[in-house]
Amino acid sequence: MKYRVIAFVALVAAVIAFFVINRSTGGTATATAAGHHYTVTVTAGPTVEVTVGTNQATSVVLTAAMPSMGHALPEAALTRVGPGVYRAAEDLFPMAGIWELTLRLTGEAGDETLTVALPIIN
Amino acid sequence: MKRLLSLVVVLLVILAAPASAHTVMAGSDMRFAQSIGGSELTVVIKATKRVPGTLAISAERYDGPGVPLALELRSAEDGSTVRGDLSVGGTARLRVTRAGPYELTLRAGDEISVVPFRVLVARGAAWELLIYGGLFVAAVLLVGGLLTGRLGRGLTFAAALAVGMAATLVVAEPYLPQPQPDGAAPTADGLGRPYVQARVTTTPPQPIAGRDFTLRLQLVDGSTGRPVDDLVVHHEALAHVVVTSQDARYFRHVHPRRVAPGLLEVRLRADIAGRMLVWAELERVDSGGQLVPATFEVSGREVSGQTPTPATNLTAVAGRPTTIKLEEQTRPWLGMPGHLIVRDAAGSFLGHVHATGRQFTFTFPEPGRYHAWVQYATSEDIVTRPYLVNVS
Repeated sequence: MKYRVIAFVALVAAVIAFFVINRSTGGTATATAAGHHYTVTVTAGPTVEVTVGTNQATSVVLTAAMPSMGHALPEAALTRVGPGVYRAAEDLFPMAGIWELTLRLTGEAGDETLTVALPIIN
Repeated sequence: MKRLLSLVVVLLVILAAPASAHTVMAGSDMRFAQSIGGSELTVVIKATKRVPGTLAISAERYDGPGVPLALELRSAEDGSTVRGDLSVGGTARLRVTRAGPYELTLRAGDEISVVPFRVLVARGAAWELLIYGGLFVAAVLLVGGLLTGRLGRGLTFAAALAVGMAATLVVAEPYLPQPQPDGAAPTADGLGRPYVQARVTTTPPQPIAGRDFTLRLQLVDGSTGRPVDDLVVHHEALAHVVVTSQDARYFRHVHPRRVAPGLLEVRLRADIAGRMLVWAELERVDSGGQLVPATFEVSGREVSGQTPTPATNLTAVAGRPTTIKLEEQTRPWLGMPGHLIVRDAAGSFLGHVHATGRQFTFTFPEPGRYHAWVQYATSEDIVTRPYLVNVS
């Protein structure tokens, strides 16, 4: 009978562990935004990777700001690391919190600015 | 048991999220006033309980002819777009396939308004599943034990454990944080946001009396200079803009259209020339209400024709509450039975108080001459009654 209780407790613990793992973000956050020329999927923390869709971009420039702290970071041109994939060169974020990432995309389809907000966990 | 409890505690701590910031919530209508097409409208978006689902969008006319609107609803995440037409008094039903950020574009002639909002869908809390799961496990154990005739101490203890866990969570539920709905923005950290700075311009740069012009508010973050695109709908508008002439014969209370991030516009016409005083009342997410003042000039000659309603004279005592009564039955407008807007003669002070029942109570801060306008909606239109108040 003791084993049944242990089995039951183990089952409950497994359910809870599933929820915990399922809910945790693993240190990165993702957001998508669709403009009229481009779509972007942004994965952030601690660096930023942007996947550009719909049309090809020739350059992607990122500016990041944290409105609640009243501070912003200098523009950072992202490096193309694969087809439609761009990455920031270094760790960008000096602190954790909600950051607004503005992407200035240029390409043959036109220029477009898209903004996403993401929780950054350092 | 101790381990189980500690696991539950860890789970609750991880699920604890900061309180939701200002957003448009599913289950509650989003109402926002728009001065568009020479009309004063309130657009209502009725949220959907689930996605895919349908948003019911309607428009209520408060003043002006009540122009029809062309609608375009676009997901800001995947770009999918649906269109519809909306006449005043009618309802347009637009389909949404996902929760998250959307832009609703309203068009009336050459005027455009792009309203960002979020479709949120309530999500059940994880502990609800644990409550029902615990009760289910207990029921299975007890019924199974009874049917098989093997309901011993062990099974009873296990069932009691499951019921105990469920009961603990039921008791603790009011104190547990509610989960964020699907489609919600990342929650702010409660630190507040900087004030707005506004650059107010007109097109043409110097409006001419008797001709249409566009008043433009460019809103930038007081810290970083970036466009402010996080205005909250407060008192049923993204911004309430009051424009009065220095001599107070001209008065408008309008609700500009958002045309781009940080850019609000409203079309106006003034029949008199001279200095105009502008105040914009607005509120950012995770911030307090703000009053942004500005001025501009109208050139040309006064257009004769409409005689403004003569102001009623009143007296008041500084620092003491003064009451103005509403004589008519009113229709709620911007969520209130009536609005009283007060300005001093110089134009350095603005007050905006709402009616409680059928009266306004306002305390004039200093002695002097004040202009006041009572505004309320009837079933026909918006009535504006000017007052001249001598405060001793």
